[in-house]
Amino acid sequence: MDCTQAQDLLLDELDAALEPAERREVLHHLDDCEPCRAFAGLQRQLDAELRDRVPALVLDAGFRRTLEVRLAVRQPWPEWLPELAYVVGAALATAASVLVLPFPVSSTWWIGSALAGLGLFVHSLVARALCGLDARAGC
Amino acid sequence: MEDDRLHELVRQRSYAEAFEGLLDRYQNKVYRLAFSFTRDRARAEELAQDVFVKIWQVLPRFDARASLSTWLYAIARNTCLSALRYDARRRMQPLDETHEPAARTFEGGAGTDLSGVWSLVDRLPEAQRRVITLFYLEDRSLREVGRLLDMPEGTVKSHLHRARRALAGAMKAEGAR
Repeated sequence: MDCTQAQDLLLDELDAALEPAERREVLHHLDDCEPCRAFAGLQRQLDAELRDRVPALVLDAGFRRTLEVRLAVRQPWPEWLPELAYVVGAALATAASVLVLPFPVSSTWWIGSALAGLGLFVHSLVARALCGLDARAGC
Repeated sequence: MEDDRLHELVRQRSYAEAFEGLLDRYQNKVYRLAFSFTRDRARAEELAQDVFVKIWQVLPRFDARASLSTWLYAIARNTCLSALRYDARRRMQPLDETHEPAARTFEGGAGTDLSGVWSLVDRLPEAQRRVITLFYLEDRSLREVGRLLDMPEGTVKSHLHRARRALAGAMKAEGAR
């Protein structure tokens, strides 16, 4: 084993335990190699200092309080409403069906189209409610 | 709360409960990840806030192609990288174009309070600095560092080795002065 291999294994040992055979070989190399012994000593000292002086990084309760304030002014799409895509889809379907109708449009057609859009909206609400009742529905 | 349960809550669209669970489980990890990018506690906390605001906004769009933690860490990394780019641009702006006080420098900034060997870590190249910081913050787990930085364990290890060699060199040089 040369010095490069021994030093690589010494560094590996700081990350995770070596195999017994590798460990024996490294120890054998260290017996006869002063530079690698110095390298090992310095690396162990460095590891100990990094470990002992690692900054404690844990957030306190203030983090949640600040986050709640930030989130309060940025309410997402309300959970009780169907997804935005449904609402936009219903609006577009209504608009499209009204636009393609021959003119003059009778009030029956207008009402029918609006009801179709409303139906889609209500359908999405019911589907969502069912999803909430049965998590296995795969919604 | 375990990831499976969080996943289930998102699937059921119980976003508020899922978000609480995500905060409980990941807020400190996200904070530490942000710290590995910024080396500044206050800035890392701000970025952790930004990450969770984004998570709250996009949680309904989580599509379960990746695990929740992978998805969350990707958002956290992207937020940190964007913030660093923004801060770098601000630092490069001529003074007469800046109307606010000069942007804080992260390395050695007011919130860093790192001393001894950890102050030497600041001199390492960025990738090595992030890896070695997270390695010690995350209880010396190569796997966890790999997950947080989206790097194979072998790459984490190689950055770590280079960082250790460079730090040992710096320690020796400091000792020789």
